[in-house]
Amino acid sequence: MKTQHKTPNLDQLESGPWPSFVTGFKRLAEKNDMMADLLGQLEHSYENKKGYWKGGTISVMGYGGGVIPRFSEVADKFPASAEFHTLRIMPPPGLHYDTDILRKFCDIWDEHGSGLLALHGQSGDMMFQGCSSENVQGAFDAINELGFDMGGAGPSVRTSMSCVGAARCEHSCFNEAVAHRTVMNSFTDDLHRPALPYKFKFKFSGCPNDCMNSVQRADMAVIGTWRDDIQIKQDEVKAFVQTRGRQYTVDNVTSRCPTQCMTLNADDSISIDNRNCVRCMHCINVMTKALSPGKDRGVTILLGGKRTLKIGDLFGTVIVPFKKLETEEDYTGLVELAETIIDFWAENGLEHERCGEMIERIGFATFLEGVGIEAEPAMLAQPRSNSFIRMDTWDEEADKWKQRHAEKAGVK
Amino acid sequence: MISDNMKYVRDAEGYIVQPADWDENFARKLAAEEGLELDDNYWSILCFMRGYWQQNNVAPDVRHVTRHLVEAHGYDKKKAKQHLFELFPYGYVKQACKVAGMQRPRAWSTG
Repeated sequence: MKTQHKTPNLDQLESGPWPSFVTGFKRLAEKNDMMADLLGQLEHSYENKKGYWKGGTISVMGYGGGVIPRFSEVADKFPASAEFHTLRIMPPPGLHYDTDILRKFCDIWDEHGSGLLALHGQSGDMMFQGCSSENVQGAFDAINELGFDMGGAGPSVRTSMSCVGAARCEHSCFNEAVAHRTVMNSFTDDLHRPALPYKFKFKFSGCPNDCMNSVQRADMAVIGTWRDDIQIKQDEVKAFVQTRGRQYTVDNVTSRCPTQCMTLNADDSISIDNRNCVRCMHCINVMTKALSPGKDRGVTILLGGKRTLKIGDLFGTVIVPFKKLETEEDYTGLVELAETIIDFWAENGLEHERCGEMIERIGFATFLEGVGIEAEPAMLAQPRSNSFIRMDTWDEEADKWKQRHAEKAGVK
Repeated sequence: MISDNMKYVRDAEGYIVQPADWDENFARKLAAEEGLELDDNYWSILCFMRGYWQQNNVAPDVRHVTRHLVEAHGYDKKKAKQHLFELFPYGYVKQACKVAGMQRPRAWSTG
């Protein structure tokens, strides 16, 4: 057993009101030398205000990514944590595990790694942190044996995320797990063998609450929505108003509607002008018994969300305002759309350029033309307040749009 | 730095430091270290990568190599990538770039 390093700086982190990762590290360090030296290196970093990790090239047989190599630059001082690689492992859709699997993960990691697991990292993966170069293949084989696969790293399709969805949430508007699994199974090669300009992330949120933050983070966000009216149970509305009071309902429900499309009537019922509803979900979230998403449910698909790199943060832009996701054909359509977009981006994206950044560079109209999608009014960002929208040929364009939709619907 | 007869200077992970110093003997030596035996399939890829480097002074991306395989050998795009990973089972950056005498790509899997 290794002598524990003195960690006065890290100890301070344990003094606050919340549980600290330092306590967990110390517990692991009692039986694992790698963790003992990791604590030593971390304390050393805190003293000098410098990080001492560098990357490298580590992979497992048949894969081009999925392992995040970390080599210590102060290995002479802390030899046991000289190699501290991370394995990214893809979680199941909706993060559904049973305790048996989680225990097996812990056993595998005690045997092959440091014992330190992060569920889940920012990428959505299970992060098995702290593995020596020698043990990477053995650890992956054991995890793979349980039916789990490597996650994405490098310029590739990345590990996807979906919300808990229909399994536990009444707002769910499509089968998130099936969509997630279908898409990921179609892009396995692009996930494990990095060959794209940069990362590409899919995320699936069951309703516009967007619990996966897909608008901000996913290159392709699939978000549940509905195209008919919000379902209202007026007796539950009345019960809500009677319990909480009219003033409370006005202050916390109707007046918080961003488009002011709700009215609380004199008889304590609610009217909604559904045409002006922007799916903010606020009323549905606060009156869970009384209001729920409509019955004609599907998804909205957005493209190009990302955090800062070449240019600042971008939110996703609508490319498909509404799509049903029920039949096998619908799922195939979703996969084909993603394939077309990824192919176009792979051909036209620059090195280290996210899809959204490419769209900014070449222009949205050029992008739509490139992937064969027709322009829709729903693609406009902030249509109600955008002063850059030109209205001079609005009526003619609207007529063309109506005609295109009529043709699609088979009406002449 | 590791030096091979003072001619090929390599970094700590075995990548060549000066890509211009690369030659075919060095490629054979590196391939042997990776457990690979170079045949025409490998040379087609390595020659393309060297040509790309000479023209652009940067290592080509995997997608450039797969495009080369599509154009030169008539593979479809998916088959081309599969072929590449059959030849280099531990990946393009770890094996192909090293054997072809590219500097270690800086963007490797940093997250």
